[in-house]
Amino acid sequence: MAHVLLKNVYKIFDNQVVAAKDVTLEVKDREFMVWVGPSGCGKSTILRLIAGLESLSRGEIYIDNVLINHIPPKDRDIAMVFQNYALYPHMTVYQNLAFALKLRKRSKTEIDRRVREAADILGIGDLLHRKPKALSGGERQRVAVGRAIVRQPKVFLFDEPLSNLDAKLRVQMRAEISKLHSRLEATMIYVTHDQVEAMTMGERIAVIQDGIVQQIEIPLNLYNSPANLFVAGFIGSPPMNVFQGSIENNTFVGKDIRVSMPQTFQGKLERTTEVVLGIRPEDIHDISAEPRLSERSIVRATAEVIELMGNEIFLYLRKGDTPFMTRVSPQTQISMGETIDVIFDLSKLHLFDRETGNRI
Amino acid sequence: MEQRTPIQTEKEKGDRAGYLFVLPYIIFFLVFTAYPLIFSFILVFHRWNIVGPMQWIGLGNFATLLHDPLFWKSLWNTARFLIIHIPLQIAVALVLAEILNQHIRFRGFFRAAFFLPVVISGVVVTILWQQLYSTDTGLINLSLSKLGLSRVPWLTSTTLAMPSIAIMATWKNVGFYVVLFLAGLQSVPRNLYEVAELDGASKIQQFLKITIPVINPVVVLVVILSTINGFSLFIEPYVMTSGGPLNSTLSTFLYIYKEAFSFYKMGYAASMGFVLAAVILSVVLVQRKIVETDTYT
Amino acid sequence: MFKKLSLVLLALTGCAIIIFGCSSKTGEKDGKVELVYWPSSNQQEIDLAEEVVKRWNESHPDVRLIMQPLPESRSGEEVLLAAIAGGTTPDVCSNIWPGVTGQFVEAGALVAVDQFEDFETFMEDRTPRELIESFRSPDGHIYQVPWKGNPIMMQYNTKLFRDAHIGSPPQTYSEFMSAAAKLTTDLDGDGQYDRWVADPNMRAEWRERLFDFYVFYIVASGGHTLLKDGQVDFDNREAVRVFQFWAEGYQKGYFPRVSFTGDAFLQGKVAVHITGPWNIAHTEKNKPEGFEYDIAPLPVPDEYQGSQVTYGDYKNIAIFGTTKYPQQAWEFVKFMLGTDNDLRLLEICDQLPLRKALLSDTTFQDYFRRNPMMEKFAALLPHTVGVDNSPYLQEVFEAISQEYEACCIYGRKDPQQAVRDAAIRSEKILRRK
Repeated sequence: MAHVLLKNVYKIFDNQVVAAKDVTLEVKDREFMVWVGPSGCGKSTILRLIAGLESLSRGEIYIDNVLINHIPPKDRDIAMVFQNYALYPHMTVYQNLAFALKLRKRSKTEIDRRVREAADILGIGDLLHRKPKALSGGERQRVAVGRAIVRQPKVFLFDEPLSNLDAKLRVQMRAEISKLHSRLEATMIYVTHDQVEAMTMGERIAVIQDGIVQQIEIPLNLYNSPANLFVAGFIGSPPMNVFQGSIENNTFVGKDIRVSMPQTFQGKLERTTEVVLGIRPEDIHDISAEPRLSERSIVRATAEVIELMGNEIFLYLRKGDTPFMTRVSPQTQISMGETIDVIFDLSKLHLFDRETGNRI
Repeated sequence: MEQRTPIQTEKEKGDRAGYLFVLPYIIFFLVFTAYPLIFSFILVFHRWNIVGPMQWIGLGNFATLLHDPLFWKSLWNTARFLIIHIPLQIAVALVLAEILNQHIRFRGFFRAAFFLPVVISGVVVTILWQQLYSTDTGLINLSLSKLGLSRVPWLTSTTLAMPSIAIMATWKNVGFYVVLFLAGLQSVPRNLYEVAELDGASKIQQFLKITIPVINPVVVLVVILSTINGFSLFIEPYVMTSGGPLNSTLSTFLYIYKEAFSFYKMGYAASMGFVLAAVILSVVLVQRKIVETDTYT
Repeated sequence: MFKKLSLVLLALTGCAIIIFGCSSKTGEKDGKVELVYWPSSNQQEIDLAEEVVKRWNESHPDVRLIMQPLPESRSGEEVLLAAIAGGTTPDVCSNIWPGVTGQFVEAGALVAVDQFEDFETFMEDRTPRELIESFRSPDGHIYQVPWKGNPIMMQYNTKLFRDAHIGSPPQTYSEFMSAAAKLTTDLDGDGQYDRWVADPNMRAEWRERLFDFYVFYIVASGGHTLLKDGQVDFDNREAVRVFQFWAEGYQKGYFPRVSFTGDAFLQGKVAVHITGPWNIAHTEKNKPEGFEYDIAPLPVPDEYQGSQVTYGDYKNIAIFGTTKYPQQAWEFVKFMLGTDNDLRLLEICDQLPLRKALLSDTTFQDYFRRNPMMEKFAALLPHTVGVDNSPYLQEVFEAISQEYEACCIYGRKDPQQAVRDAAIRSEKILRRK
């Protein structure tokens, strides 16, 4: 259907807040791309730039290679779904869905056909004659999505569409939107602050912070090789453990922790000595589980907090003044205050430049 | 016998204090609402000239009223006033509210300025407009004759006098309705306009198809309030025209006043008052049927 | 709505009780008699009242007088009615228009003054007998003491008359109309008149008819009033003539159908102003440089043969039934009507006491020498009539006013028919009792 290109896009508000800074990114045809970042990072604003609800300060936006900077929103052939649904309260579901088509003066039969199609896709066929007030949150969101579908736009924009729903409904709707994407084969941009949503839904994910695109990757790569400390900390729950330190003789020396560096880092470490070491909680193992690891480092620490999750245990440990955490198997025998030996899987280490935060 | 605990006594004390707190309102209600209402209801069946004794005449006042062409004329005059005043008021108030809701310069100043006439005494405003409307030296006619147009007999023509009063009343009251509409407009989520814009609605379509239906409850409120206020049209014709020319601006309220306080026909005036109240009630009920839509159900 | 109405009603009675409540407290205090006196609320009359009361109190240590001006209101009648309803009337009130005393009498609110032994002797000394008799109520008693009068005449701008080559003020309707034709002009050439002969009030309020229809009717009929023995007495040729006169003036555009701001007579926008002596002080105070004017009697129908008469616009004094000391109150009224106070009435208020031989009395000669215009009014004072003594008078005026507006101002009705209809309507009103 369509391909979206942002080129060196800037958005600076009147109050000098920079919401987009030199954003360049491409959304491929039929791609489902998720933009994720903490609230206030600028992701919604950039989405609104594409919709035309905000004006660009600088840069260019193309849809299907057509520059749309000066095309009014209604002619961009874009549909948007809002967090608060933004349904027309005085119209029935049917009228809500039909509104855009009516404005475009489509024939009655065509409108009816498309409305019923969209309603079928979303399973809201029996709600068509209700008004928004008589609908549940999930039903309202479906209507909001349906309103986008009937338009058959080139690009769907979702602005945190699930944030107002309860956790259970959110999971359900997540799957439905993914299904919808594969069914419609449309280009979709989906903005969220929830990294779980991002990881589960996105074909590709753009991580945005302070109006700057930090990294664009497929979910797995984003997890396994975060481009910088921000991405590393933002993606993954519980978050990656980070330790400040320096490299001395191929060994990471932190305040309380020393880890010898595996072969893969050799040659990269000559220039930088001030580093941040990162390791995900699942890459620290209980020694008694006897993991078979080629390169490892043992650390002895004290258990401070033990969180039983059922299928695993979140173990908050401390060595000296340095806290870190690990996810271990529920069989692990440990109680508060006890010491435990844990193994760092050295093949899963992440190393970042302490000054720039970039991955080494 | 139940024993009184200290808490109970405490509570009773609190109750007494509560009654004490509502006492001023109850006194106010009895003296200024209940008593006059009952008194005027009694008056309906009497002839009374304030100083003499009351004289029971049963439904005689209503019989007079049925055959009083001036009463019916005054109702028709009031209707003529409402037909011009209400749509004009709503249109002007809506447009002003819409403009004042935008990010324009000196917004606070304009909001205050449009509200100012509402708080100024009606008599003062009316005298001011009387000067404006003055056929000979009024600012409006002076401007017209500067433009080479002929002078307009604003208040001295039977056809124009009521419209002139309606325009003035609109100027006086519009600020209040602007405030109501502003509150209504600000309760419309901004997202609705964004969606509508993406759906392809022009600014005017957004106003007609989104704004107006969404603020329908406010529109209903404004229609009803301005109808009730419109029916009590009094100060403007009283000061400007005394109901003339040829009774063309004699509002029902003014007629009631004249009958009561110029000719001391208290019973007849009270009867007209009750009939007018019934008329207002039925008009408002009809209006609600027409204007009100079930926006949210 | 009706809530508002009854609120007004209640406020009215409430006011009577609250505002005038103090007056009911007066009476006897330390063995001294106290009387309350309400004069009119305009400044000159308050000044006069203060002076009179001060002198009374100095010379009458036993009867103390308290002066409270009538509260400011659209009409004194409303205030007095409220006071009557509340039983809080003063002992004495001046400046009462005789047109409303009928209502007061009917309510039993006034003391019959002819019951005082010396009433006749005292009054005959001061006021012509016929005038006193004209205030006699249908029940045979007199409830009001004649005080002052304002003969209605016309003030005219002599300069405008001179410029239009009109030698003398018009005395008949046709003279008036031909003068009007010359005086009414379009000065700036925009095709519309901007100067007129006169500026009669075109509001359809019954009160205003006193100074156009009613005064002209008195002039034209040689002193007839609207009623005779409680019956309509204006369904006649004279009334029709008056309607014709005004209708012609409006129809030909001599009287403007416009609303003015300010005093059109002083601004030179109209050449004639129908008014009473009270306007002289106003004119003298506000007239622009070089403004010249004179006074003349109102015009009569061409065929009129009788003598010169006009409306007197009398204002009288009444003693209210609530007084505990009618005798003392009567003494005060007599004091007020003394020669000294009548002179002060002239000097302070520029209004004429209803007194015989006003012009020949040496006491007043000095004043009239200083105020020649007032002398012209005073000359006409003996030839004035007032209004009828009926509680329905205001409604009769309202009926006439409605017809006057339709016929004279807007030309929607033939004068004959209009007078007829007003008479029929008035008969209905009078029959209603």
